[in-house]
Amino acid sequence: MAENSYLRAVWRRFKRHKLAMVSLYFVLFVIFVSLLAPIIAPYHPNRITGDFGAPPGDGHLLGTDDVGRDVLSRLIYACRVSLMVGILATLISTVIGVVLGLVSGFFGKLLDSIIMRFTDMVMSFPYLLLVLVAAAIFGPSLMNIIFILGFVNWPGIARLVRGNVLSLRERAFVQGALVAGLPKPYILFSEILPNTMAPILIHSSSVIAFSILDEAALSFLGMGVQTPTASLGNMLGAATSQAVLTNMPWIWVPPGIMIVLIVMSVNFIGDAIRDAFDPTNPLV
Amino acid sequence: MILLRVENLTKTYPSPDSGFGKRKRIQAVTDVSLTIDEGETLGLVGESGSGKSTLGRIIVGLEKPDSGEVYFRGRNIAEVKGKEKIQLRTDLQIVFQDPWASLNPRKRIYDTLSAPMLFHRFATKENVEEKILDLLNKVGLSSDAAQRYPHEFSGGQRQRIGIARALALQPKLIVADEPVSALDVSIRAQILNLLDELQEELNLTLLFIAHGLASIKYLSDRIAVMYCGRIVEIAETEALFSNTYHPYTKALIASSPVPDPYRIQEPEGLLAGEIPSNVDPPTGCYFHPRCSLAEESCCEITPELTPVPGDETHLAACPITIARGGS
Amino acid sequence: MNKGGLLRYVLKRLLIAVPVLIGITIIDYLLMNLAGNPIDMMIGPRITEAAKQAKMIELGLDQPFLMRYWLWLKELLNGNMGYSITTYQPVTQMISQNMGPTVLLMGTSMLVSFLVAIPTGIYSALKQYTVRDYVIVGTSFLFISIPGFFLALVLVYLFSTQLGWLPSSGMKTLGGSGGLIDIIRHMIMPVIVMSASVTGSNVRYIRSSMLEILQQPYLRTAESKGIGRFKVISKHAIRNAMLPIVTLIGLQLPMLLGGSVIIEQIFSWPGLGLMTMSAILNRDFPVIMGVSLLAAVAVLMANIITDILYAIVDPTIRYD
Repeated sequence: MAENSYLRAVWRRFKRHKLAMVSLYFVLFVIFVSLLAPIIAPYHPNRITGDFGAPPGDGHLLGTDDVGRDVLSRLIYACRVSLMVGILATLISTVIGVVLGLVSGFFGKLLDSIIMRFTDMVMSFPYLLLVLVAAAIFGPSLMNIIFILGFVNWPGIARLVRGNVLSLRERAFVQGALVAGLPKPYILFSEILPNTMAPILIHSSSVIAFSILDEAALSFLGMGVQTPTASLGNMLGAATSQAVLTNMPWIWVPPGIMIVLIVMSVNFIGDAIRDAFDPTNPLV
Repeated sequence: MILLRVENLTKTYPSPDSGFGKRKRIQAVTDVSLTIDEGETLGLVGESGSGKSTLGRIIVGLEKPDSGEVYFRGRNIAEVKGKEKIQLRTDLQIVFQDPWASLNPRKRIYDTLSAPMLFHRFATKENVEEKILDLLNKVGLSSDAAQRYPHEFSGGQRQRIGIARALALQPKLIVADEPVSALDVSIRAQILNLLDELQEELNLTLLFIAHGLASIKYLSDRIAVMYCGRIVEIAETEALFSNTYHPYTKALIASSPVPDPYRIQEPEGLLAGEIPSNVDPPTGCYFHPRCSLAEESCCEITPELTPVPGDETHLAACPITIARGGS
Repeated sequence: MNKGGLLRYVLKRLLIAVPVLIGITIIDYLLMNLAGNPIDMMIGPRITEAAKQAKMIELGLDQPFLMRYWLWLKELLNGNMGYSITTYQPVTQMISQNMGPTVLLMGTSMLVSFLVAIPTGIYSALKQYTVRDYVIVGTSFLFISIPGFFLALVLVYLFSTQLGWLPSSGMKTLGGSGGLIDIIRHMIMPVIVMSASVTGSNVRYIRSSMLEILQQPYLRTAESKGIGRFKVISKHAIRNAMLPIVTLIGLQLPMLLGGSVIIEQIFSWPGLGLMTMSAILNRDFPVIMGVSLLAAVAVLMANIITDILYAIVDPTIRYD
């Protein structure tokens, strides 16, 4: 009822951001295409279907790659992979981060100190380095990448949630629930959590963007998704060869542009969400 | 019958502002003792920093005192365990000052009210709705309020909901922490009247905390005056106003605005100086730096609450005025 | 200014850092163990199996984890980070050899980033709602969203392959006489790539910080007092907007460190990143762990310094 009207007001404010709306449609379009990949893609992405290194021409809208696979099909499947990694990794890190942040902020004292110091430790390691090292140790594969990225991203969310919980904890309605003798876990999940949803959502959108970028970087370096499976990153990886870089731009430019578009869209959407939840924000 | 007894309660907080060296502490509540009888309304008045809110929070269990005990129905609330502890939770409730912050903005009134009732088995899933409507009616709200969200109500209405929430668990004692301070003056009377009626109807015991004497006077049977963490005077309402002893109480009464444009404010009644810091209170009687009656002994000995001549129930912490039999 | 409070805050901050430091070393050691036998990495090349066994017992590797950790830590504090599996050099030596170019790259990138971002951000905030503002914001968004390696590829494609203006790899031209100009020519593209995304987010941050300040009532008060608009802005607004910059530097260090790995790989820039990358590809764990440790400690130091600087600049947070 009125909860809906709150969300509806947020949605209305969101809609005012034209750029974000366009981005939203774009992302939905990409998701839609990814889901329908088996139906839409003209060829199987890993099968050789043409001459290698053929420029865009008949049968292959975007040409073929250095081995002879259809670039367009690979592109579609690659989007699927990259999106999947981005979303799943973000899900993992959000769950971990939210739980730790809630517990740390609410119960305070020793538990808080321990969790926060642990967060500091993980945050200290340069992000990409940690991911690369973990990939080197555990071996690169799709599932591993998802988990690794998930485990590396939770500190940011945990800090954020903890901060919110600290201030919410002192609010009268939480204190009232405490006085009423309601059990602490209930208070944590039923009273506090819903009131921090907005910042969590906003942060998650940038985590999705980062995860997609990181997966691309990893795969580019050969430490992520392995060929023949296509990912936006490893398609770009082909460009490390001088020949491909110079003479076959259709192989590496489309995946690059795709990444840029997806990540930009996610960023626009995230920004618009932030504005939609907080109408007093001076950021345009 | 005494419902609540507080003995020598002291509570301090770490001070955020301290130099390099020993950490100073804020003396929020110092050596406070009082009792509340069943069915009575005790008013607790004092300026900000007097410790009245802290005292209320300790009584209701939101804070733990550094020393001293709180006895509810003869039982020390710090020692209660298990089922008794849960029962205690339902017996002591609180109404908060800020109507805007006291309700979860994301929950409908129905959910806010039903949760504690269902948890403590005061209601079952079948009859909880009926009980909620009953509660809402009691506080003067219509039944369709249950399905709404807090932001749809005005400050006064939200405060009524806050009172309903406190009543939901059928408490014996309610701590009302400045329940009308955040409301428009025109609404205050309504809420005060509501509390008055509810108290009579349900035989509630009320600890009514406020910083202005006007509302306290209206509702309270007895009044305790706090200054800088200590109680300086406690008496039945009538007696406090007609036979004031402690100089601080006198000043407080004198400075209350009176809606009479022809009355000229007497200058001696007004207080000079500022409220002392809670971190470094003055020696002896905390009030002595601002007191016109202060003598040598006042900065050495901290006075105890002693009965005034002729009235056992009227206590004041000022040996000077007690000796004089008045001020 | 409350000197006592500041000193206390510094000490408290350093004190908190100690367990974090220890934790970092523990994580590092743990990961190393997962990767392989630390003894192999510590001893060095050309040792017989028997001697290795003897060394293992001597070094107490048949002992529980904590003991081994302690021994490793002792070695570490003595400056022994082990030996590289591939080059047989001591890790510490490899690190110090390769550190220079990376620091040069990172330092220049950060400098460039701020030199560009500060005026741009301020300008954009002042001209809010104009086309120029939108262009700047849009471009910043673009830079944040472009993966560094893609930008690198595009730049190399444009400027090296097609136009031939800039060299695409290395720090100096092979066989050339070197010299500052040569290095700078080699540095241009890597620096652009490295600073791009960081500049993008800096611009946005400074812009929003500036916007927030411009909205403050005290500015209007200053203006109404008769102080000219320009003076008002430069004196009051900018100084306050600069505060977050301190934290920005601290935050960006980890990003730059990570980015250097990829960028040095692409441009064959002979720095720590390149060394680390080949170590990773070759599973050369002593090198990897050594660099990771160093990086983590550097980030930790940066965070501490940032916190302290922030406490100096903004007195209210000391009372935490």
